Amino acid sequence: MTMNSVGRLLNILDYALYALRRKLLKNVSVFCLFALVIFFLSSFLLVSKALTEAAQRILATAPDITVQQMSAGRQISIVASAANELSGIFGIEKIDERIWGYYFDESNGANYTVIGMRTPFVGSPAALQLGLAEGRLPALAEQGKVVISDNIRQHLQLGERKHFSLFRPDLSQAGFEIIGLFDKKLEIITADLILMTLADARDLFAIPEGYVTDLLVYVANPNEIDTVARKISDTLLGSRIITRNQILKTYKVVFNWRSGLGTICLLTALAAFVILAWDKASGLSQEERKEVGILKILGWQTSDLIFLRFCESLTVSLLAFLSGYVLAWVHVASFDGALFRPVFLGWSVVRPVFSLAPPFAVEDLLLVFTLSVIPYLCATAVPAWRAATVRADSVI
Amino acid sequence: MLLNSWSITLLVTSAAALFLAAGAVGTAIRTLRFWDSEADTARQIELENETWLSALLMQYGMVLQILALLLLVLAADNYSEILIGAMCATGAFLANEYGIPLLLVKICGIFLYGFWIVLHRLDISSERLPLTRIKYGYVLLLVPLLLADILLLILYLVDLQPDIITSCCGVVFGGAAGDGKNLVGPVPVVVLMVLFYGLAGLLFVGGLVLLRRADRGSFPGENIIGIVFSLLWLLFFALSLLVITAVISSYIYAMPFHRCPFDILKEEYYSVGYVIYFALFTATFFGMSAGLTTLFTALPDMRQAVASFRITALRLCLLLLPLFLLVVSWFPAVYLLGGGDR
Repeated sequence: MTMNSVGRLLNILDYALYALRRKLLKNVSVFCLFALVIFFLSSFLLVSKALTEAAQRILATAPDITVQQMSAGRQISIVASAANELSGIFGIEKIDERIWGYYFDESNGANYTVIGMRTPFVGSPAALQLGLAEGRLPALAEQGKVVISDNIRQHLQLGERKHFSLFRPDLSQAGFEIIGLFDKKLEIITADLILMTLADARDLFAIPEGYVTDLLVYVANPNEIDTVARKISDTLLGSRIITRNQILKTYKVVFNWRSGLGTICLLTALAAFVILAWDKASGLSQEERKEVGILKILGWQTSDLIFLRFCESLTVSLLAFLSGYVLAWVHVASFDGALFRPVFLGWSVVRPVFSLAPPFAVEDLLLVFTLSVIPYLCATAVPAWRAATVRADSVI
Repeated sequence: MLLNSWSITLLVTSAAALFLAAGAVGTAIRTLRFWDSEADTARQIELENETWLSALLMQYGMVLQILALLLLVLAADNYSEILIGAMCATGAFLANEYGIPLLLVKICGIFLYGFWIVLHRLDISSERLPLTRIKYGYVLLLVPLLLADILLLILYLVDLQPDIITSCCGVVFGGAAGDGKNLVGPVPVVVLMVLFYGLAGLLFVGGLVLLRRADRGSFPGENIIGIVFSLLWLLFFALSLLVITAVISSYIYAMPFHRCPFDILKEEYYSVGYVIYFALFTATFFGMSAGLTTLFTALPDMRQAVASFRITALRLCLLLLPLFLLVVSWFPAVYLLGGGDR
């Protein structure tokens, strides 16, 4: 490219900026609306992305394979001795038992998740991941010791007290002592969680001896998880086998699906905006027609005028894109995507209070760019041409 | 899997391309019916004005095609995280029978739009606009391609089934068979590489000779040589894609059994794929158009314009081809000569 054509380009760009400033009010209103649409669109994408990341982080603590017993299409307790049948499968590192369920607190209408584990927590991989803000995890032989979240402590209105009780199915009371509090960073999983020993959970839910809710299988070689899962499925008939990878995929699909749904909703807003932009760009005032006429007499070509309009549209849309995206980022990172979080997480009494950290990826930028700037540029193409082909002798 | 941000974006892009093409097609039909470069009627002036619009729309279309191809590959990579047995974008494309045809249609789109823009540039370089009719006939040819594109896209997306937990029974184990899926099987590497470098050398020398000849006026058999040159470039393009997939990519990943033409775009591999594909696509595009434009030298007013375009195109070709070869050869060379990654 010669210096001459660079100079021509710069001059047209300069004129475009000047023209934008002249029609300041019109351009600012287009900019604001466009930035708002982009803000909503990117917020949705960023919240979904951040939640997927969070799910991925949390699932690092999940077992490789979860084995549950099904009966008539519903999950029921599994015989703990089923673990013995699995011991012959090569590649299984360890099998754990777990009893878990939901405890409905009538006093405030909240549901708590109660989990009882057999493994001594101290030093186990799960324990290392489950960070505690204070206290310790219950040891294997301890009775009535639990770890809860600060959230539950507030719901139980415990204040500084350490002891509380829950009702067994026969309405007798089971007493517990709080020996630890979960770290706030893990709020997304621990918000409604009460962690205790297997024996305590069995006692609370009155689950008969020899039965557990599910079996947790750990596999030594991650490449063999699917194979081991298939063998378990062949061994334990009527069981449901879920791999960690599958849980993660399901989360991804669900979040993707919800962000897709949001995108569809916002697409109508985008379409409305694009029609508005088309309309704004189409209505040429007498003054604008005159301007084109004068420029043509001064020697501007049709292609120069089209390029001029393109520069104007590009400037407005790029500015709106950047502002909208940055605002969305601030919304998600600093305000935890407050506007859209209910859509993704649903609603419950014990709501997790956690912060989102959207990962930065160029592909997300490209996605929002294609979804917003490109339709806008397409919509302004025909009006730009129409404005550029006004004949000089017809307006002066 | 239509309800996914990537799917929606791909659909919006295709719809936008179709919308732009529809505008250009209107002009094309009017031009083919009423064009008369000698006339000075109001209709003719109107048509000449519309040429600007269609050029604008086609240029936008070109940008859209490039974006759409990039998005498709990124989307496939994204889908691979939720599909049964898909390890990378290859798996996502092979998830149903529409994936690979869709990819090929998108690649064709870039070249076809590009050729139209070359045609348009040549056309407006002459006041008599000698290529106008050809140009608009060509626009009509693009329509089936765009329709095929959007149809394949919809079929592909509808047919994609994400791997999610089913509530009724155990897991669906479809995955094991899909592990390590590759686009192509093992190839006779030595034969392929000899062909690859041989053809590259031939194209380079051919480009040099044509460049020397370009400003000296016409020579006998010019058209045939031009067409052969273009066809050789097309062959080289296909061969390069095969070589990148079957041979080069394993060296880039340092994994003998991972043969994927898409993962080289990832940051883990320094996004080197962008350089490779940019060089390959542009070199092929200019190589092919330098050859094909010889067909227009016989038209009035076109000789000078074609000659100057060919000089630029061949120069770019001769610059990009060595760049492509250098980047592509670098990774095997590090292994074969330097003894591997350190």
